[in-house]
Amino acid sequence: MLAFVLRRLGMTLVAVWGALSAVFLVLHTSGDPALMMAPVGADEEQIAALSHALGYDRPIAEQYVAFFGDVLRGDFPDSLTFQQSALHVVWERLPATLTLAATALALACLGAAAAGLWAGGAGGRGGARREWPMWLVFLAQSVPGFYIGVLLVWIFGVELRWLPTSGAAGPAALILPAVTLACGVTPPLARVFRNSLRGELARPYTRTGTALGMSRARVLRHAAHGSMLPVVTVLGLEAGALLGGTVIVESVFSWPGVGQLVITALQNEDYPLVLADLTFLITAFVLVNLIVDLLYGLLDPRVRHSSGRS
Amino acid sequence: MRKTRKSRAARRNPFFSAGAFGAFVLGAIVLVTLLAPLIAPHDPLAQDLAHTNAAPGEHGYLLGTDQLGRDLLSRLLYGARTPLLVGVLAVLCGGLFGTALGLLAGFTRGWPDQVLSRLTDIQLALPSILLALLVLSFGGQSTAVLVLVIALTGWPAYFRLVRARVLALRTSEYVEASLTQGIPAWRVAVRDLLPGVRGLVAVTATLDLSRAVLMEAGLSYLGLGAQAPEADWGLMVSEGQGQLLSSWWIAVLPGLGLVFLVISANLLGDHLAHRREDHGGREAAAEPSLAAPTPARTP
Repeated sequence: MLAFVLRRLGMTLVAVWGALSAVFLVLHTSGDPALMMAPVGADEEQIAALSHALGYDRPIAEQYVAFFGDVLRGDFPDSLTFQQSALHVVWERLPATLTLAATALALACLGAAAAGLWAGGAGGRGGARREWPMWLVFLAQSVPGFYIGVLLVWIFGVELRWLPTSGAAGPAALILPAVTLACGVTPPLARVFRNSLRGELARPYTRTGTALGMSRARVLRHAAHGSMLPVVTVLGLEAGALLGGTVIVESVFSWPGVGQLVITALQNEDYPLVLADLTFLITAFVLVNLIVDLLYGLLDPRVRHSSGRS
Repeated sequence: MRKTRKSRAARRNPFFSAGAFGAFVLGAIVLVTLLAPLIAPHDPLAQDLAHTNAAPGEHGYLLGTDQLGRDLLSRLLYGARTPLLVGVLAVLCGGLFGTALGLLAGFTRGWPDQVLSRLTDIQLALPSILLALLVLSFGGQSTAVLVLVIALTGWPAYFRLVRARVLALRTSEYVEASLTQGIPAWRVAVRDLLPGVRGLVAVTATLDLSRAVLMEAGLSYLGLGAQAPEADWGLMVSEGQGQLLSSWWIAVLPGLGLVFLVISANLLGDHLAHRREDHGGREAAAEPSLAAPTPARTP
């Protein structure tokens, strides 16, 4: 187990290194970074002073090393619009994003479980009567997330006036953004659960269960338990879709989270904030992947005993 | 294998196939986009400030006008231009790049394979929308950057599939035969291995097109892709969102266009992938995940 944890940790460190290098590369190949970090209308002297204060006039290799130190310490240039530590601004917005993502994930799991059980529970028999949830899933997969959001705003916010369509005032405001975000995450989960369940139901042990006179519900429960591993894998992969999805969904509903922050910061040309926000999101994503990998190792002994990558 | 093929064929509806439907809709969208200058009743950028937010049918505007009094029908006809152009170019760039590197890595193995495989690992560990935001915010916003960003987030898919396929093909006798004859490695790669991955790349590219279109639309919606006053479906949804209260059609209709575009590409891609599975025989059976890549998802 220790070797497995260390190996995954090593891979995560490499991924974080790669991600931060990408941020550094993009920042420094797009012209003078001090020009971007300076407020609009700063004169040359101010820009030069800022460039010196932020260390942009030092040799590039030295900056590269210093960049990692800064990121580790959370030391980013101050946000221009908020006039305070950019990471602090990001940190304040984090709870809203986590609430949204967690609710959406719960909804997606419920939706995928229902669709997968209905479509896969018949073990491949049943035809169109059983398969229709998968068509819904295909549809949800093909509709852009922001368009689902706009449609929900139109139907439930504007026409029916049932739910608030922007901001985060009260739990009712959470419903539409969470449903929108869930629509993006449910399809792959439902697909893999259905297929995996179908596979389990074709295996001898479920047939034995049925032959012994077990109720259908009990057979399904055992089969669902056995079909969980691929579902967990996809769940881990979906963590990224969830984080990326928050950027768009939060913008549609003006949800005051980390994702909306990066877009408003871009519109306000607050590049220090954009830098801190994106670095935070990317690092968070890599760490979430690590946690999922470790959980996967706990669930399936074969994973932690296999040597390296397949 | 034979049995499933038969039953699958027997179940096939002779008058309707999802793949043909997808190809038809995709073709129709491309045709309409190409013919837009001929069939659009108005200039998509011409403003008629006396008749803003006109309802469909009012003042001689078939589908009404938007908040600046521009004819919605004409804008819809032009609106697929950027998604299609950016999507196709991005798929071409990403596909060529990924295929070439996959060929290189699978054929040479050794250090190029190690380096490139690690690189894709790292990149797949990053959410593509964040990568796109990063490049677009610090690298500037233009159509060229947009294409590159979407291609950048697409190439690992081609790389992985082609590499795996080439690794499998490399040991086959016809490749060994060519190599022992002293034919230069690059010629063997191009002449003997490339044809073997062509079908795989074509299927991947079809599904990648819907991913690219979705990404272009999402970025345009966020204001990072197509720029006003251009007619672009994603941008039009974002502009129309503020008008939902008075005139829903401004936001809802362009989005519908996107849905049709993505669904048709997904249907066609799924169909091609299944056909490969059906006819691919041994090769597809050994690598089911290669024959049927999962369809693109909403970013």
